[in-house]
Amino acid sequence: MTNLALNILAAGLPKNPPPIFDNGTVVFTNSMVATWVGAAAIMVFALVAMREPRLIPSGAQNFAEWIVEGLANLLASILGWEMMKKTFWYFGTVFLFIMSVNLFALIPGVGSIGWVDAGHGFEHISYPLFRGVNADLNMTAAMSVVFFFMWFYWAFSSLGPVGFFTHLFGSRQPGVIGWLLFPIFICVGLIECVSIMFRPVSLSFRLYGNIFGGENLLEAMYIVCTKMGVTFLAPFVLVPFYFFELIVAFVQALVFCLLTAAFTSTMCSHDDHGHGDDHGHGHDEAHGHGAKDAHAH
Amino acid sequence: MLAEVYGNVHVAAAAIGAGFGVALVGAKACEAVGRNPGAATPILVQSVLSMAFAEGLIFFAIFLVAK
Repeated sequence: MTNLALNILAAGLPKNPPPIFDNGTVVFTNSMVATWVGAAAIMVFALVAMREPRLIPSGAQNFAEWIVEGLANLLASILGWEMMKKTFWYFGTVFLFIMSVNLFALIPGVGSIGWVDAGHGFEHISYPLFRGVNADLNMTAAMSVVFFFMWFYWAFSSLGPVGFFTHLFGSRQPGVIGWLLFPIFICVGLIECVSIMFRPVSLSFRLYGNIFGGENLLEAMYIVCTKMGVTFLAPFVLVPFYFFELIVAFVQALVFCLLTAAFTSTMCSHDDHGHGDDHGHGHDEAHGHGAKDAHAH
Repeated sequence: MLAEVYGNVHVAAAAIGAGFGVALVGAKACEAVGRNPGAATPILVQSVLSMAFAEGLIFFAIFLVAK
């Protein structure tokens, strides 16, 4: 059994994507190719669906509007309607992109069609044409670093430089007690700074770990069947794990989108929850933000 | 009889903790939706966020595995 375990670990997905085109100056990895395919799929669908927009949508237009409207309502319930309109380009795109490339990575053939290294048999594809985009730490890190800087921009533009630092370090209590508690709130602000610095790390590792781990799980289950001599059972053994990965593809996109939105909303929370906020919790927003604060730190 | 335990024990500990954390959040979220089905969307948001923080631990543990 020790041998079996070692074989499973040795034959998993490599941690870094192998390059499939390399002429010395320009390098294309297989996850980059999958990124282009995923982005092109979203763009082509959007263009086709909105080619002849009608007032009463049907078919592809209906589907596209359903997705965008659902996302907009969900984000508005976290960020407020005004902030949602300002930031939807990021959160909406991130959700749709992560979700579509995650689902793309599960299509049979992705990761199993490619070039074989010299000296290897056909049982191991060294340079697959496609690789799950989020199974590459570069992509997840890029998205979370973009969020990191956009978060600063949104926070500064909605609070101003003075408001930004008072929000981080300022005392929440009025009067003399507030001044007495000032050192404590400075410490709270320092802890919050550490938590802010760690956000890109945890966001990128969470997405990468989930997708990379999922792809490895599928490979490992196949290898278990092969090593036990029951390769013909592999399609049946893999089915429940495929369903699990389908759920993970959706949930991780939702988690990335919601986490970034909640980080933004804790910083840029305004008191003017006006038009469009039809969820009927306008006056409970203060408590809501308090709860999110507790989660985020 | 004590068996020798070696390897990356911290990953196992993190996995146990993350599993319990996600399970607790899920149980309480189901309970909350059962009590107040109208609040399903806000509860979904809160529970997905807390689950993400609970399971985030294991990824730090995995990336600290000794080679």
